[in-house]
Amino acid sequence: MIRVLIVDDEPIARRGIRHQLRSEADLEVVGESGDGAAAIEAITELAPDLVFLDIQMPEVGGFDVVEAIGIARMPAVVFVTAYDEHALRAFDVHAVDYVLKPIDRHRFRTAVERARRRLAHAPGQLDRQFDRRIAAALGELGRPAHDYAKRLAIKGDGRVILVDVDEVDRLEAAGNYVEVHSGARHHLVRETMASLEGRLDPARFVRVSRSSIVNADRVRELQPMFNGDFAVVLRDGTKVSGSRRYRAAFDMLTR
Amino acid sequence: MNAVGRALIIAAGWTLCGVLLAAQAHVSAAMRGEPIGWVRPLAIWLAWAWIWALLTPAILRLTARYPFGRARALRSLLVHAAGSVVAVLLNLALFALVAPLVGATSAAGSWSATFLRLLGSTFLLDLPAYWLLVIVAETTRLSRLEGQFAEARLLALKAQLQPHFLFNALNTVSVLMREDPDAADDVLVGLSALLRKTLDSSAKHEVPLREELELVEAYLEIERVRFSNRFAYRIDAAGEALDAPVPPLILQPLVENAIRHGIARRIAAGRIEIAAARRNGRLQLTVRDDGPGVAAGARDGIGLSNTRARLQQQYGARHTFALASHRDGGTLVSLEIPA
Repeated sequence: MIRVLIVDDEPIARRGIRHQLRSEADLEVVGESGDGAAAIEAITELAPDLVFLDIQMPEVGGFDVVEAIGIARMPAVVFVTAYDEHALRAFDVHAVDYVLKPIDRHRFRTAVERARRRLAHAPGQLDRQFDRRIAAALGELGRPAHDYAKRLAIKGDGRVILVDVDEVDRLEAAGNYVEVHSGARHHLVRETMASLEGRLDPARFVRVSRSSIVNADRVRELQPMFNGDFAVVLRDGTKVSGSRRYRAAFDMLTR
Repeated sequence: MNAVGRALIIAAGWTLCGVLLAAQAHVSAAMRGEPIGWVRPLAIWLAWAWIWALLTPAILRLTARYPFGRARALRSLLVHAAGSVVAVLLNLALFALVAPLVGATSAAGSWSATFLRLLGSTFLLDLPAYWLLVIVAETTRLSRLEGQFAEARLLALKAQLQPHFLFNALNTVSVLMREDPDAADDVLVGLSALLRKTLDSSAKHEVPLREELELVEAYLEIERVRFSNRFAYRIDAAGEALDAPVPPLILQPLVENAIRHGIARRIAAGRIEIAAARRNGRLQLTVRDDGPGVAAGARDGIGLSNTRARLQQQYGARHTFALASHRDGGTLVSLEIPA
């Protein structure tokens, strides 16, 4: 079964995709999102295999979603758009799948068939090839995408803030939430530590304990302790305690 | 055109006039058998022309302030009748100062004697100079208005047919067709009405506010279906305001802006309020959304800058146009035109 997520800010357009999928027995719609931020949440929580992703959406568009998830973590994507000259040209050049609204059902079948073939292969060689195509198309559109999240979408008060991961100093678990500390400000993200960690580049964001991840660039000092625990001092003076169970992080940071 | 360019054109135009009239004086004197040479007629007529050139910017400003539109044409006529007398008197007064220096035949013993002599001999001949200036200014303004109107019409057409808007609307129809044929029908009819009204009103110079509001409503209805009622709108216009003439497609770009910046960019439900009121010969129109407001340093898009230019051309100083964040949130666009 291929698990599908539909992302579009117009409910009617989502119903249109759903209708097209009715005749595909092996595709199951596991969720719908009405905006980019909800899509990021849904992709991390539901881990769908395939996403139909609208490009133009309020606040966080389809490309922002790819940027926030990171190419390597992104499920297979079929972009959906009513009209976007530039994007279509880039998609054509790099053979990225897309469908136009109103939806041509033959074209839709072709896109689904291609996604199906792609997903039939074990993740690996072929997968990376598709990732590279999307990365190339986005790069051409001035939206270079990376394997890992470039920005985090933080939702609150009916608005979404996009925080560049370069500006993040550290992350702290707080129940079902994660506090993202960036300079003097901190934001709450409704996501588990594990799923957020999965989207961040492990070479830059290092887990030092069950509840803390630090940005390696911000580490000023490491203080080992007798029992194998350690403390990490960031450039702004913040002290984060590291657990001996994450000793590998200590080694990595001292390397 | 910049100020220096304008000044140069005015100076060149009047110099040409002065030279032509001097040539005429030279030739007619020669034909009478009393040759006067070139220096004296040139000095006299250039002095006369350049005094007019000095007065021209003020006359043009007065014409911009009191144009001959449909509204208040009588008032403009009275203003310019007075203006022409004052301008000619000023011209003669100044000319009387230089008359003895350039050897004008009208030069008498004293300034006042010269002035009175000039008044008697040339007052009525000078009046047309003023009116010619007004006519030139008005024709230039009207032709510029025509050009801008054509541009606005094109832009509005493009906005209706904005590919993104159009294809999304068609997609809405494509989906609704299966689920709810009546609703699909409504969207198609709305879309047709919108296109028809745009084509109709784009051929006219002024339309009753009623028609403009119908067009805006057709547009809003389609957007509301597309956004599944993610926004509500209210149009608040009293009876006497509905008959007021407005430039066609004056509100549509403002409403589109409100949707694009106030509604489409955010996730929470929004609200758009359009109001029209007519009092004391003025029509006041406002479009308000409850979106994020105007970003500091934001620049006008094509639609907005075109609306501004059209209002400026058509109404000059007799209109106001303001776009600002409302103190209770959102963006408020307000404009006032004579009605």
